[in-house]
Amino acid sequence: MQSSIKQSQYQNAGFIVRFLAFLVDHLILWLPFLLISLFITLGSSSTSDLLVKLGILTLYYLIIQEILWLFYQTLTTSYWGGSLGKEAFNLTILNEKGEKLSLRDSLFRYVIGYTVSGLVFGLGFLWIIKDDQMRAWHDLLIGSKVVVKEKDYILGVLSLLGLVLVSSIFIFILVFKIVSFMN
Amino acid sequence: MNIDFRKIIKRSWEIIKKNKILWILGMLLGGASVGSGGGGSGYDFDSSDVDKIKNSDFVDGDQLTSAIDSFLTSLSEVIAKIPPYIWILIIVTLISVIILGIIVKIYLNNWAEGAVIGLVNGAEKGEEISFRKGAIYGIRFAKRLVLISIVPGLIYFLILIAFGLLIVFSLLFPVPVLNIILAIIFGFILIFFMLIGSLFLSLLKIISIRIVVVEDKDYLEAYKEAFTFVKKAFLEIIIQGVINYSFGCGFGCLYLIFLIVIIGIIILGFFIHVGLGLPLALLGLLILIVSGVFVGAFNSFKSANWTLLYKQVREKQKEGNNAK
Repeated sequence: MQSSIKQSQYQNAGFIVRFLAFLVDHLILWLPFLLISLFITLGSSSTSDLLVKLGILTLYYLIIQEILWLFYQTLTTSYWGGSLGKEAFNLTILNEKGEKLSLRDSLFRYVIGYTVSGLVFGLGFLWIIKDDQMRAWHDLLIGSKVVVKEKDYILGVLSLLGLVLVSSIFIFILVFKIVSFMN
Repeated sequence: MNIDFRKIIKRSWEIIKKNKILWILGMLLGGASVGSGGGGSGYDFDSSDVDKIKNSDFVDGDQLTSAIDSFLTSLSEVIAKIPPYIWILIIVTLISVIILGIIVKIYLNNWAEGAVIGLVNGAEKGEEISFRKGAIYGIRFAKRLVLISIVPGLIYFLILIAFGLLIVFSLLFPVPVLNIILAIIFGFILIFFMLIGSLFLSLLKIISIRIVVVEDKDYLEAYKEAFTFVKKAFLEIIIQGVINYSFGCGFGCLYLIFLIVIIGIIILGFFIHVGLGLPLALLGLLILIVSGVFVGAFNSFKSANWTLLYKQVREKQKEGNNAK
């Protein structure tokens, strides 16, 4: 990626496309958990065995999910200019100079910025709809902007559909297996 | 020193009323987040509930008991089979996450403190304020403010522990009456030190963080200066503290009454009909979200009062020095 890009040549990314990219990121992080759950389910011998193992896995996932999310977002944003979800939707995060965020800025954006945005039940995220440059509170804090590199969302939409499909299949197998155990 | 407290309060109110950003940042000062937290359904499932289910028409009580027993037995067997390293892994992860959370919380509080003081100081000078400016102030001063909020408190805590140990050792002293007298003396010193120390620590913190942000000074230098400042303007600081405290009591009482009324209406709604109670509960939740923002505004108002007091005292001191 270019080290410096003029922001004016890009259009700002709106709320819906950013939300879809956010969903893709969440599904990407959720997939390994689902996959491990599936292996556990297939390898379990009884209902109690299955429930305990799934319970422990869920507990573990709940504990580490914020940390995972933080690492994932910070590293991908500082190295690639955006998370995989944003990349899929051809979005990138730029700072005031039109460059990608440094590791420090990126960490600040996700730790402090997201906290501030989430303070009033996510009003800071919805600010994208109101702001004339489509910036959330975390963007306003760090001076960042999410822009559209190319108005081609096909890869993003396909990724989202694929991830939803795979997750649904996994969930279906999980539920089916649990119900069959109970019967 | 002739301090115009009325002017301070009026100006703080104007700044807070005009700049809604300070309301949001103020929520981080007091940890008044309404976006998360809570938990628990508020209902405890106890043995009487099992009895109710057992005695109901559609379940055979004995069958249910044996099913629960067999499930619990197999559950405990499975739990016992889980290797210890899994438990260790969970505990280590949990502790790491908690420690990380505490670090983030300390940074966040101090970052917000720096941002609010910096923005109020800027607004007082007539500057336009923004989230970005607040973030820059916060980032610039956070490290120094963290040191101010941790180091003196830690030293104070260690001194308290030392006094506590002195009391224990004096009780172990071999002379029967003297050991109790010594323990009582050290006890009094400890209580005196606790009261005076905590008062001075909080006053020094309030002033030193403002010296750091407004004057851009190093934390140790700011702390030393704060000591002189508190000594010279002790009465003014105490009066401002009493004013803030009174506002806090007033606001707290109003907030409590407001909460009681909201909860009362929701309960009443549920008593009349569940269909009425649920929308009322949702409405109550929405009102609580808004009230959280007001708590943030109030926190920023208090912080602005301190910042403006600091600035006014400094001005008076400079005027006094020039007159000399």
